[in-house]
Amino acid sequence: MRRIMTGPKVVLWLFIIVALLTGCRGGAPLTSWPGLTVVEDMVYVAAGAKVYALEADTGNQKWEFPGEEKKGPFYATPAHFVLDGQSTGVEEGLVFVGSNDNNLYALDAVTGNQRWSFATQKPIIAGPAVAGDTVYVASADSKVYALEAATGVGRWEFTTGNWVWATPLVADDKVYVGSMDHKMYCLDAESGQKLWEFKADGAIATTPTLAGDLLYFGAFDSKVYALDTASGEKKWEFQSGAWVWSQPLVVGDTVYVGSMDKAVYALDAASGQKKWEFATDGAVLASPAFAEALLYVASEDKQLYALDATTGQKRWRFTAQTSIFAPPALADGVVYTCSQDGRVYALNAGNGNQRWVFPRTEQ
Amino acid sequence: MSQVWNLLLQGMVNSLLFLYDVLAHNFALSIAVFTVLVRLLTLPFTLPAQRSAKAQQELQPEIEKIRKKYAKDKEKQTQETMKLYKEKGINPAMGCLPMFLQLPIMFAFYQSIVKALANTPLQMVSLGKFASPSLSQLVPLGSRFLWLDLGYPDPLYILPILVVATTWIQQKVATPPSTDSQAASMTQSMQITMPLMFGFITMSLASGLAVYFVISNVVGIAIQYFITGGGGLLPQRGKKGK
Repeated sequence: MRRIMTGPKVVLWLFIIVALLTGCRGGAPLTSWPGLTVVEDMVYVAAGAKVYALEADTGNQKWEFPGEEKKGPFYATPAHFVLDGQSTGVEEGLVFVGSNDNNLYALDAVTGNQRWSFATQKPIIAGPAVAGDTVYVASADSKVYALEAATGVGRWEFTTGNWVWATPLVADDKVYVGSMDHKMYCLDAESGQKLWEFKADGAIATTPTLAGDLLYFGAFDSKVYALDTASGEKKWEFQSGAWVWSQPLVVGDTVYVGSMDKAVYALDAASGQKKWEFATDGAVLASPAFAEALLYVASEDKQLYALDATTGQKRWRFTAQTSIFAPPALADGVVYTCSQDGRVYALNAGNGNQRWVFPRTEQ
Repeated sequence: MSQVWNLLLQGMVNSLLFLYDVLAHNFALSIAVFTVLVRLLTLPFTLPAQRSAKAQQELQPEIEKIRKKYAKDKEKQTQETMKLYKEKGINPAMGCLPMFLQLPIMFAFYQSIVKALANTPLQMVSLGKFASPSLSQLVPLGSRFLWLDLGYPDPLYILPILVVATTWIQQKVATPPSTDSQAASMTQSMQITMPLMFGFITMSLASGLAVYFVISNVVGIAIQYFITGGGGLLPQRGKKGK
């Protein structure tokens, strides 16, 4: 009888182990979401283990990083930079991309070859920001780094109290950056000295947006904040139904922002009063994009919505094969979006018709 | 079904966050306290299994007699054994059924620890869907404890070693000495393989889960010891001199 009882117990143990291996390990292939940047006639995409340069018109791949034989770690949204070439007389483009392997890579924009790398102590989750000849990058090691864009040599670093998962915003010689320590910091762009800080009621993973003299951002306390950029004083706050991860977009006197409560909100930029809201069927993590009176909103429900920016009425929607967490990008009447499976779609911004998809379906 | 599962997960994630809040923001302590609570709450499932195992253990001499008597007729052997169980009011399935019932709770607990220890954006999105707004201010949780970052594997491999040791002891305590050499050999093999396998898995798991394994094993050993004695670990209580 003991032999009869041993079988099921073995199965039970194996069941537990399989569940542990499949359900409980942190080693899922995707840890974050893709990101893309459109610069002139190129789309630079970080999708999972690769960075791609695609022709904006056709979606044809120009290069990928790392090379074909290699599979890299996760890469964050790229940023583009033009080196003025004072010494060589030739302008050179660089693409900066942070990685889960803790490094910031500078790649040649034409060939994808690595020019330099800079190591932080923990994964780089957010894309870098470029201003002047400096690239600013935040890391989960709690620090914000300012580096010389041409060489990657460090200029200064600033330590916050927790992971930094948001892209810094650089404007008017100031760096604004949110940290998971619940604080929004304003730093001097030249020296990295702290000018002021503001403590929210939750962690901050959003990149702030500057419009006029107000700084807008969301937090895990489900609020959208507007701060005075000079003092860091709170001007207003708006309570949504769940965490706010989406970077606010300001167009005229309206702030558009998504929430994990599945809605996108249009708020009065001066007062924070809600003008309208549009409900999707999934969390809205991405920053909306705007062009020609249309607001483009990506959602976890696999849809990219085009809404009337004034009323919030839906004009059209495009359905991808998986969730869309990455912010859409617009250029020359085309909206580019990237879904969680790494597919990049180029759509006609007016009607949502697909122009191309990368990788091609036949591949 | 998925809604029930999500409700269970939501309850556990928020319980962990609540304990983290009241236990001086010490997540290791939260895991330990919650593990003890979960083990106590699942006692109604585990106790019948352990009592059934003990009753079966006490019938071993009689089962051995049946085995010898019907050594050449396996079907008859099984029939007689089942008849004996029926006479004594023992349901052998009780040894397994409660384990199946408590498995969802165990899995939900593993997953809630992993969720609470979110350290990547996608994990954090998942946590955001489960954490109640009033507890969201605690995120991200402070995951440092002694030499450990509870969201990452133990760099010193101390917890995997403790997992191996406590899993081995728990199996020893839970398994009564067998008179059947084939069964004893199989049990012995399991008792070596399983702890090593768990230890190996723990080496690549978040150390917060290893804390759960160790505490859960220790509580399990204590409960098992008070119900059935030392099992195969210690000489059986009340059997000296026989």
